[in-house]
Amino acid sequence: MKLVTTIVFALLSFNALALPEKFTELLPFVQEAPDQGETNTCLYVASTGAMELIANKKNNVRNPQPYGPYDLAESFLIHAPTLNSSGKYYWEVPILKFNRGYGIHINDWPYDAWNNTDASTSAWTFRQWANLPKVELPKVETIPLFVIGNRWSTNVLKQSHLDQVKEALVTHKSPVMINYNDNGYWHVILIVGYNDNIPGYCYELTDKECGERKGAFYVRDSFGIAYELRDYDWFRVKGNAAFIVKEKI
Amino acid sequence: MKFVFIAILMISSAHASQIVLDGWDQIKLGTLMAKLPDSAVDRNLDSLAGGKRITTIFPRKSDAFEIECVNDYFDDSPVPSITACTISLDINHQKIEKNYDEIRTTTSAGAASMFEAFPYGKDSRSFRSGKFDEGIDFNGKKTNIFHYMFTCSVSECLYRFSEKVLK
Repeated sequence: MKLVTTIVFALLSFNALALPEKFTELLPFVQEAPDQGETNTCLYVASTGAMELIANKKNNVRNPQPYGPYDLAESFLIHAPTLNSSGKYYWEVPILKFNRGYGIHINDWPYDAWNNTDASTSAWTFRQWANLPKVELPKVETIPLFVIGNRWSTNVLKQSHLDQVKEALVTHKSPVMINYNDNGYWHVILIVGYNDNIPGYCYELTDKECGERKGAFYVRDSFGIAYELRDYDWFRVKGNAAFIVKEKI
Repeated sequence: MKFVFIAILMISSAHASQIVLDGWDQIKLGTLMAKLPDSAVDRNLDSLAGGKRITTIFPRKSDAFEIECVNDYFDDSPVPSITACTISLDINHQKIEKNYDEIRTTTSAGAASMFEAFPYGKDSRSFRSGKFDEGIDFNGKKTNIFHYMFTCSVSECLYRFSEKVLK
């Protein structure tokens, strides 16, 4: 038994050591997110962003511009009926709606989180989408990495969870959708890369929580910019769930 | 001599104010400034140990306000690891318009570049502070307070700064 444990530990250690110091090859395909404002649509913005990234990568659309060929309507995922949620976590359900084989382009169903200075809820307004033009998309699948505690749980992750996320990025070359506690709200965004050697933003952490500031994830949040760097400790302290989103082969 | 220096300092302090920006606001603004073309900004490059520091000032010509962002990049990262931004206002500038809860100024300087840098919108695009205080009771009126909000067409930008958060 001890021998087995030693071998497993050695394999895990080898695996961790085998990870490259950085993984950035998804960055050229990240579609800039809209500013979600006060719409409470993070899960749909993140899910749409994952599909945009996968479609841009599959079709070699580099440095995609707003309104580019795979800039998709977030509202489609809000309103399209669920396809198959059996045995799936809450977070996995929206993106699987794309397994119809299509989405709607943002030009045909704009996403407006703001009306001048006021928050807009128009993203939640139903529209007849069946006759809107469709953007052909690849089928996708989700693979849970871990779900610990509830959506607001903090300080439940360990270094091994961060390694799981990094390994998933390298192995699947696909985005990882994560849930974390954002100042008291549960929030879903994408991790799209990492670099072990550079600092990132400590985002709502104390200096003590943020540690030595070495190593950061590239994250795609939904606040009107493509991606930014957040310190590994941000996810270790604030995170609680992670899922791979990849093309279904 | 010392008195003259202090007097000059006091006069300049009276004319300049800064908008309070939290860390997230600074990341957002730093990202926006990094996207603006050289023609729209003053940009300086300095080397750092293991990286580079890019300082960006917008707009190029002295105006009613100035945004200065310092972005530190490490390794070959396309986005900065550390960002520090300040927004300074010349509150006595003739173009400044003050109302009950905010300071406004419009300018055509760099408008097209700002419009292009903002992600979404047809004829008008906007960029807001991540800090949004909803329904603040101010002078007997409920109002929404942004630390900053920029709304641009290709020809003109309206810059709005919340007076409530002025230092």
